Amino acid sequence: MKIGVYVCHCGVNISNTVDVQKVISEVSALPTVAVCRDYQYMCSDPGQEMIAKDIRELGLDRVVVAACSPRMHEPTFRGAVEAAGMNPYCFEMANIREQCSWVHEDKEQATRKAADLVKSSVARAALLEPLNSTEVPVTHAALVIGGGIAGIQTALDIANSGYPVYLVEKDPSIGGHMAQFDKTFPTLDCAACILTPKMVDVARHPNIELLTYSEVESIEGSVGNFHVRIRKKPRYVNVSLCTGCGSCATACRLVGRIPSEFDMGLGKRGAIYVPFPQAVPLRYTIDPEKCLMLKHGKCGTSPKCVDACDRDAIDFSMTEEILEVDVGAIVVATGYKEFDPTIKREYKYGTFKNVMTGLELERIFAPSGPTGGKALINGKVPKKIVFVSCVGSRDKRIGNPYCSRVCCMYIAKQAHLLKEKIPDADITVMYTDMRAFGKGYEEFYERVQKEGIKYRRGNAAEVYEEDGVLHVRAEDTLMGEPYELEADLVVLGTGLEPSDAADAIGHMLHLSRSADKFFLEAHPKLRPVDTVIDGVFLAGAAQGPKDIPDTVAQASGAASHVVNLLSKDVILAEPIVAEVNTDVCAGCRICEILCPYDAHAFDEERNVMTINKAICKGCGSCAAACPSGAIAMNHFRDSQIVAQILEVI
Amino acid sequence: MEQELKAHLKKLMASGDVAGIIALKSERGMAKPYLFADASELECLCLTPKYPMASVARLLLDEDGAARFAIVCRGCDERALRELAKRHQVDLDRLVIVGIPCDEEMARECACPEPFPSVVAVGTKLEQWEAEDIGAAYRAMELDEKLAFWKHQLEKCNKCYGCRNACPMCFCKDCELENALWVKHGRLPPEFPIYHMIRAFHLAGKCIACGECQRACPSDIPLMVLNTLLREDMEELFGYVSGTGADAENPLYTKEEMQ
Ligand SMILES: Cc1cc2nc3c(=O)[nH]c(=O)nc-3n(C[C@H](O)[C@H](O)[C@H](O)COP(=O)(O)OP(=O)(O)OC[C@H]3O[C@@H](n4cnc5c(N)ncnc54)[C@H](O)[C@@H]3O)c2cc1C
Ligand code: SF4
Ligand code: SF4
Repeated sequence: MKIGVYVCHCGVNISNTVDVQKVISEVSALPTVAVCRDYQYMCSDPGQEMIAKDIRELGLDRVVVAACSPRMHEPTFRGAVEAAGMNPYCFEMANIREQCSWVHEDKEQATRKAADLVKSSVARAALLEPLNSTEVPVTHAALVIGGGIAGIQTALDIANSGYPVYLVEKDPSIGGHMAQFDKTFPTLDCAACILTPKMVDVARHPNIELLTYSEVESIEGSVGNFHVRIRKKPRYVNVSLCTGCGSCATACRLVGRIPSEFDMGLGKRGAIYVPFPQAVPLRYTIDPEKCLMLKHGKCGTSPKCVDACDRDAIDFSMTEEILEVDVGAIVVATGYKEFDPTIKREYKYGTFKNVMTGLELERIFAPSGPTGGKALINGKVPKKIVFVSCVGSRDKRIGNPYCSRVCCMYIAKQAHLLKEKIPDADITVMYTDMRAFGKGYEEFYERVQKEGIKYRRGNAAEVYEEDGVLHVRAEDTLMGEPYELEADLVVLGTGLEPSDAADAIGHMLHLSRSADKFFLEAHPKLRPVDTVIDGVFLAGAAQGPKDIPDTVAQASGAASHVVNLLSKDVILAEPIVAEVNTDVCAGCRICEILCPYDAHAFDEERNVMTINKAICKGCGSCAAACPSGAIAMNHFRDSQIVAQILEVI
Repeated sequence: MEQELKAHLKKLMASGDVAGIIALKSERGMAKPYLFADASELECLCLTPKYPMASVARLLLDEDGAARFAIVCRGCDERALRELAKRHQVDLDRLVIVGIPCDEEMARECACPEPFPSVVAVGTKLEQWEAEDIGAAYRAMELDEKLAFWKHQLEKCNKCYGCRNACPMCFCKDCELENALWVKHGRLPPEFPIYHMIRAFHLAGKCIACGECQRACPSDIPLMVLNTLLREDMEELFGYVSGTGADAENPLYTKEEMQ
């Protein structure tokens, strides 16, 4: 065995606290070590070349680099040794920076520890086995889950690169929350004007198969080869016959009787409906929970919608369909839901009709909304308006310590729009801290203040009613004094929470959540659109609260990662996976329960466990739990770990 | 009780419900586990000594693909079968459990937590049974005394594997106790405390307190003290008592939902 050991100074990051020469002299004495060198920056070109030269000239079997965390540079050095003809899994890294020089002060002790760490890596390296990656073919198609602005942008970008996309949206139309807005901050573009063309593009794109009113049932497989079952819910309207004329909706016996979800319950629809006039696809849907025909099998003497439709598009016998598709990559763009402020009892949401949420007010502004865009609250023009920020955000008590990132700005937008419609309105914003971090945001905030909107720091403590008038109690934390305002409209700046429909998707894909319960990205800075599951990417508010510009940027980022993957014919599967020795396996199936990725499949015939290498992430849970010792973790075999431990104890 | 049981088993056999009965047979003054396939053989059936019947059932079910058997079970045997079933080692649907209670003397000897199965087919179960607390003396020790206690006890180990061989819960084909990576070959006594620590770890949530290991140990190591403490920990930390019904999931083999 010939092992080459390379100790890095990391500039002075390591050498300030660790006596590199001393480490070298100790390690050189080990019988398996053929050469031991040091260098200022091992990761640099000359550093890597030094290793390559030794591999070629000295015929090294294993290489150990003592430097920073393997998370940082293991891929770098694996690549370097591979280029010099060595199997990349014969490389081992000792972390003497994060785990030594950065956390210790005493040079003598740190040097001793560094030497131990390197020796322990040498012991492990001697037992490493060469591993070979297997090639996996890639299906050249993508699945995008969620048809908000994030899903729309991702689907368009992938489709424009020439790959087929299945875009699945659970609601009858794509558009997501953005479709509910009238104007968007900070530029006040009309949301429909910028969103509708994209929605239409999606519907028309030859590479996009749009599956609205559909949900993902199950996902199997792994990167490059996912098998997806999609459930198309019955619309009870034949979409190829329906022209979207709307005669049925006006005819429906229940027209104007059912609260519209799209209008946040403020407007009413019938049992057959489109959520909004610009819906894509512009095809009607029957609400099976409400439709008299579907619920009771009878609607007067004959269903009015059927009578009204001259295309015979209505079909009560429709049932759900299951569609099975194969894709190579998946983008999760399931968005958010608005925080439900009923649990913040002090604001009396649900008790008083003129306490409303941000999203509800968005519908008031919308020309197609319940008031036709007029600033009317319960039929009256409000004159005294109070906005309360951070409702459901930055609130540890209700378990949402995070900032929702859009409320400060949508409050500014809404205050501006109200002032525009009601010039003599007295508008106060009670805020916690003003966060106007985006491009053009600070400028917009300034503009709104100049328009006469009052900003008072310190949030509302309570909303109560006296003699039919609402009062908001608050403390001005700049002046240090409590005060009260009368209001005929209180708008709660409700925050963002992950969408409920995202839960099932998260389970199917084994995605992790961050503390805020949004989906967790693979790295907060360097890999914000990847997940730890290869081939699964995140876009938009599913990953965390975001405004539209950030959502669109991330959506395009996710699309580029998908395209990057789909442009390959084969990918290499990581060989650090668990393997079952079927001669030893006793069939207890404990491992199966513990695997977070469902990589295990029990072979009933032979009564033993098998592991799907393509799904296994090499977490090691099963190998640690198997009482029989039947599971070996490649690259982290018991013998390798024990050798490493024995060297330091 | 023996006569009563024989009558009960004869009826069961006549019903044709089972292919045979797993119980103890007395032969030349000794007892051995046996599959009674014929009613005439039942005359030789005996009840003592105590024997880990669950292991017998496990091996037998493995041999024969589909047949159903009756098995004469004490409280501990039933507990063992339940834990084995949770680990897919026996199929309870293929077993008819004929429960018998232990008498007071037997129960005391084992310090059995529950000296009777869930359903007693013949005989009467002990009313008001309280097992001796065999962990009490140990718990009262200081930390260094505890260490000294185990050092002294485990020093006696001959590495005969008797405890493992007798244990109804040990079913692996390859045993980690024989893996030289953990337990060095050719070393007596085995390095402190790895041998017994591996057993303890493997028995957490599994040991059903039958006492077979301690009875098998030629060096009288009080293994049940260790096992009792383990069982207590499982109950205190996770609310799990091993040997309870199939719907109680072993907390050590469940994953926390990934949040
Ligand atoms: C009151 C308010 C006002 C706002 N105003 C502005 C503004 O003016 N400017 C701005 O930049 N930002 C604004 N925002 C933020 C903006 O709404 C978000 O940035 C944007 O909507 C995020 O888009 P998305 O596609 O990620 O999520 P969403 O818009 O939530 O879309 C997600 C989509 O996925 C679908 N879906 C969810 N789960 C599933 C599933 N399991 N299967 C299939 N489909 C699923 C949903 O039905 C939905 O269509 C505002 C937010 C609020 C609350
Ligand atoms: S190593 Fe982890 S991911 Fe792989 S099979 Fe075992 S438990 Fe599953
Ligand atoms: S835990 Fe080990 S013995 Fe049990 S089924 Fe899995 S591989 Fe087999």
